[in-house]
Amino acid sequence: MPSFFDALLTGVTNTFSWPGILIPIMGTFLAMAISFLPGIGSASLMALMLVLTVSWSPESVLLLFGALVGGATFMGSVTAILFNIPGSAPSAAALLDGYPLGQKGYPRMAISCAATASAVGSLVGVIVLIALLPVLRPLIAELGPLERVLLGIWGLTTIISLPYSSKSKAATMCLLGLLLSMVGSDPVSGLARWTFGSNQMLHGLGTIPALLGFFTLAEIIGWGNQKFNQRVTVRPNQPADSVRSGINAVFKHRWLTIRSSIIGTLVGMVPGVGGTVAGFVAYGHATQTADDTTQFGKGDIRGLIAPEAAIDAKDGGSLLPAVALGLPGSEAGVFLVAVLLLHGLVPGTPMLTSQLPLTFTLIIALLFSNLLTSVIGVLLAPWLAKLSNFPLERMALPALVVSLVLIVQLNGQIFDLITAIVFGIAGYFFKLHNWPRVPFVIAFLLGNFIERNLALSARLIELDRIQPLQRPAALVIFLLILISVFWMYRKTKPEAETEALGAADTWIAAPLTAVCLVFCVSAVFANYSTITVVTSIVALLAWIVVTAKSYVGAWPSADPGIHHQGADSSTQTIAISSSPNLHLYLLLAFPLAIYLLGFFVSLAGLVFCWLLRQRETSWRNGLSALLLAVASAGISYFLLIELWNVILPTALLAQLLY
Amino acid sequence: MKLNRLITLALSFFALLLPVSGIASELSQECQADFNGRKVRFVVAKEAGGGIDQYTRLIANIFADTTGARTQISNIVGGGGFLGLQAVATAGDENLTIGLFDAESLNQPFGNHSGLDLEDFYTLGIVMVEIEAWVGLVDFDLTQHGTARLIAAVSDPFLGVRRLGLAAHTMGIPLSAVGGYSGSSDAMAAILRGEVDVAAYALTSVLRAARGGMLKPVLLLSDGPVAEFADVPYLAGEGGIVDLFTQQWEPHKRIEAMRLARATAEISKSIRTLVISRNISQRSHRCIEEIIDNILFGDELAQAAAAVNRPITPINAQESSAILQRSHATAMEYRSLLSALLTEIMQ
Repeated sequence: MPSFFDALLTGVTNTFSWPGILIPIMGTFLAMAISFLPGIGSASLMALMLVLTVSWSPESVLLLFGALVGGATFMGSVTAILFNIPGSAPSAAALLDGYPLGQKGYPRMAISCAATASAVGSLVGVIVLIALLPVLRPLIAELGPLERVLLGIWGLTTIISLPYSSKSKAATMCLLGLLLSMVGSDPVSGLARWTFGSNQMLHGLGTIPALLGFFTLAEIIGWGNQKFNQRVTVRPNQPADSVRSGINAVFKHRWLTIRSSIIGTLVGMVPGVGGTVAGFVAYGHATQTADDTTQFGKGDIRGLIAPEAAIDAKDGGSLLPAVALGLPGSEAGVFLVAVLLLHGLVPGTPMLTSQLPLTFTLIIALLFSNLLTSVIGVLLAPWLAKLSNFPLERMALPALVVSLVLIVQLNGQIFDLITAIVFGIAGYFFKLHNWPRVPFVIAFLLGNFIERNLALSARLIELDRIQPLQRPAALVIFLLILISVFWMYRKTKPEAETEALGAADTWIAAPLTAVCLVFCVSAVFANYSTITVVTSIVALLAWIVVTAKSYVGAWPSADPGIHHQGADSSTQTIAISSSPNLHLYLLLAFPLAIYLLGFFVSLAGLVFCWLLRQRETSWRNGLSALLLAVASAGISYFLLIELWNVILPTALLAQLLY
Repeated sequence: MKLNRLITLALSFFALLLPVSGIASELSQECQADFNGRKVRFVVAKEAGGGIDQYTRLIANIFADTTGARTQISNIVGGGGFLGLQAVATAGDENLTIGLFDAESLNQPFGNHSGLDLEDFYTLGIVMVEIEAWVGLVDFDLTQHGTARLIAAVSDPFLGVRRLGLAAHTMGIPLSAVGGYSGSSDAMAAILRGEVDVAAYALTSVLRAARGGMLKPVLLLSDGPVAEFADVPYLAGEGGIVDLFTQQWEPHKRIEAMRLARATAEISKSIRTLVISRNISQRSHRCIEEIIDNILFGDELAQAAAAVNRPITPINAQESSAILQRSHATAMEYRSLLSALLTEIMQ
């Protein structure tokens, strides 16, 4: 059996040999290219590579897979910073402060900071992993449902630490997020829950469509509406915006970076948790430990450093259950186990003993790929940053078309598009009326995970298979939760809500109370699980209280017309909500148009109407709008049908005609 | 003389076959023309990377190579495979969609949200039939377990009740299921942590996990011994664990238990079946059946599957259909028992 250091040296030699080094370089570029396109996961790339690399040596394949995993993480955050579009679910945490930073005139700083934090995160992650390697198996074996549910709750507690103008709104948004995360199938019984007879909803509301809708489409609706509401977008070019300042920021907040990296590594090691939790837990940690939290959500660099470091640090940890136990805890882990077995390697003890050099080859390739993406990110930052200078009004339509095409490309499901549009419209109004979106997103992302593991833990305790007080890892996480909550409350000033609820809030709260009522009644009558019923009742009560407060607050003199942008707003704008918003109606009508006319005709119609709305009425503008609409539909057709071979449902009109 | 006759007979036989082979060849050309450049979607109702996904990708590649069709893989996950089933069932000639499913998804005696069943599909063939196995820790011995309650991990209660609830019922062992584990890896990790005693998955998955040295197959859900696993107890048939456990039972109860054990083995098999919607035209159906038959029994799939360490046991469309019907009939026969067991094991 090779010694620890011999194995490490072999791993380094395998990675940096010539021409072997070309494999992780190619893998990194491939993964970067794929992950730059939002919604297109690396799973398809890995599946393809699995078959193509059958004849390769184990060292070469592990070099490639390490690079594919490492290269996919960072680029997802670039789209989040530039366009408010998360390239992957873990990148959602980078939206919170990354995009506002870009919009405030610091895109270079944000990108280079994200790249540097990723590099440091992956480096710390690998060091922690190597240090833990001897005790890895027992450590991973300790992390069961109880530890996972506590980790999820730890992630959820970050909501408390974020600055809000209204705590009532934050609490109700959190409960709404939890409620919507339960739509689909009950994780324990497998029975349909709140699907209202729709098979499409059995799998729940898709995370990527929901995130794209909630942030990107919501933003686009706002952009498209700017000209007509005389909104003023303030995006100054800041003199302090430089690559150097981004790199320096990471080193200035080095302890936050290291702590976030350690959080990312440890969370990544828990099977099934993934980078989304890691990013949000690290974000919460940043807000908890900061002296001044007022800028979080508005472009605080610490709110970008923490999740970036964590989501890159988790890469190595997420592969370890596959290597150490042969049991994949992540999508990448599934492919890794398949690769190992295909090449005659045995996951489990052998990978930590006789095959340790190969394990190190994988880890070093992963680190190399992470560092390479960061270097490329820093080098490209000045050019990438220029994309954010593009006028928002002009970017709205292309961004909308790209988003819609990408959402359809995910699964070829129109239901995903409907999900995104509903979330987009909701997100637009939440933003307009200063309802905090972050608690909703955190709860929505963590809800199912917490529920599943809570139900598992309760059942195992009932069957006497786990004793909570005899699980050291659970006790440690529980202690961390208590410390976090105590720390957060100690730092929170006992002040009243800074913003009173008004009449416009009633327009948000009343319909959502009705939604919660429908959910609650159906949960009670359809005999859903206790967790589901309790959550729906608590959510309903909270929304009733907020509706009542907003109604009382509105009486008698509230002016529903004018609302200032809220805490998570990214542009310093004032919008007049009562003015007509054709873009909103266009998006609302879009799913119905697809059903009647098909995706491409509807897309052309959407583009045509959108452009007509934005321009002066003249035959010349009409013609150019028509040409652009046809071109958009044509390009979308080429991409979806010819290139990606997506099969879309036949429109009703086509069915009637043929 | 005899030799001459034999030669004449043989020549006559081949002469008779000529027109038939001519028709077959013509049909192939017709199908070739139909499918050249045509889009065909393959639906996988599971996440990318698993066994079904790999089989589908191999078949889709060969389909594209041999016909010139443009194939696309869609992983439509959710609802216990119902979303994928629905995508296949609702597709017609204009958007040809083939699905590879476990028979259990096609063959739900209850808890079927989609309202779809075997009647909605043409069976194109079976890629792989394999038995399911219970997996447990290496020191777990079912034959010595007695009648103490077993705790089992399940990912999908509707599948778990067949593989675990029904099997335990035939052995007279009380069983409680813990639902909510997300997939086989999660369930097997739960065994390693001591949260549960057993889980049940396809034998290949169990053997893959067993290579780590801490898990092993503890029961084969088969109707008779399996030569390669002579030391692993099996469920049904003579010498099986039900036979062993019921020796002291009253004869009629014992006969019923043995019959139920055989039925359990039958309905818990992992049967990976290719299907297509009945909405498609006869011509498309005929061609696809022919193409799939050629792929399933061709060397290319055998070699490609062997290269990625995935065994195949191809069965043609007609026989596949009969196998599925048989399995469905058995599942329907025990529908009320399964339903009662589901409630019992989840409580």
